[in-house]
Amino acid sequence: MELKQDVKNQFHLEIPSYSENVQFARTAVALFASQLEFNLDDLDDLKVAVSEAVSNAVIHAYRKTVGLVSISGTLYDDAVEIVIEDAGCGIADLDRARQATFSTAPDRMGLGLTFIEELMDKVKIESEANRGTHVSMTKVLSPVKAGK
Amino acid sequence: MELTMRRVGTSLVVALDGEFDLHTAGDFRAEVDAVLNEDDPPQHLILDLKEVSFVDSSGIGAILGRYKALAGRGGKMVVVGLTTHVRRVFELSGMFKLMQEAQSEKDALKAVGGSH
Repeated sequence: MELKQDVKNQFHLEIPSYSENVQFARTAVALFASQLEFNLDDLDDLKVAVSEAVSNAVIHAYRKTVGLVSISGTLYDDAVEIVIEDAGCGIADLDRARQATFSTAPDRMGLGLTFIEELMDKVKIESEANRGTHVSMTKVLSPVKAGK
Repeated sequence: MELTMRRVGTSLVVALDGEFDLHTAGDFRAEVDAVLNEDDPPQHLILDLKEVSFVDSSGIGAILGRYKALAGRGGKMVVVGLTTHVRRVFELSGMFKLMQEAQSEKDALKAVGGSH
């Protein structure tokens, strides 16, 4: 197979929406990203962001059933892009969901999307009712991240 | 995630070992709540996080839930042994507005003013 021109590496995983798989997903992504010279803090941030997105899919996407969550990663020279996707119920009100502390699940903090946006350099979230949710997040490798 | 609990005076010291996320938060809630709902429950909670290698908002949410249960009856929560990563997640979630960090279990016990 041939990768696109500026792509150094890529992966694609599909896992059932079990909570056990959240750790597996974030650890796999961190290992993949460590092929670039990210420092440990950046890898920890990436693990949290992935953990939040996959946890969201596990908690919300398929309600009381189990469905598939796909996680893919693309490694560029200076960045890693991770996409987490499900074919579940979708986010009814994305603007509201992005507000810190809003959650449709009882006893939850509602900070997942806030963390993702805080910890990653670029985030895109698309969702459609009954079609699913697509979260794309990018961490850029930077030699100097002064003040961050 | 492994959990060990000890009563020290009016405090419950809970030491966690492992990764604190959606999957492990449930057991943490259940085990700590079982003690908090006993007949003579501890008033304060000291969370020893030095062996916690990962935490996300699910873990923070579980900690916050126990904090609210304690605060409701005048108790305090103090955390000990935060790694750089865990401290960052605490800062991002505003947890230090609610609870303080101590350098050791001894300092944490002093901070809650528990007798021992």
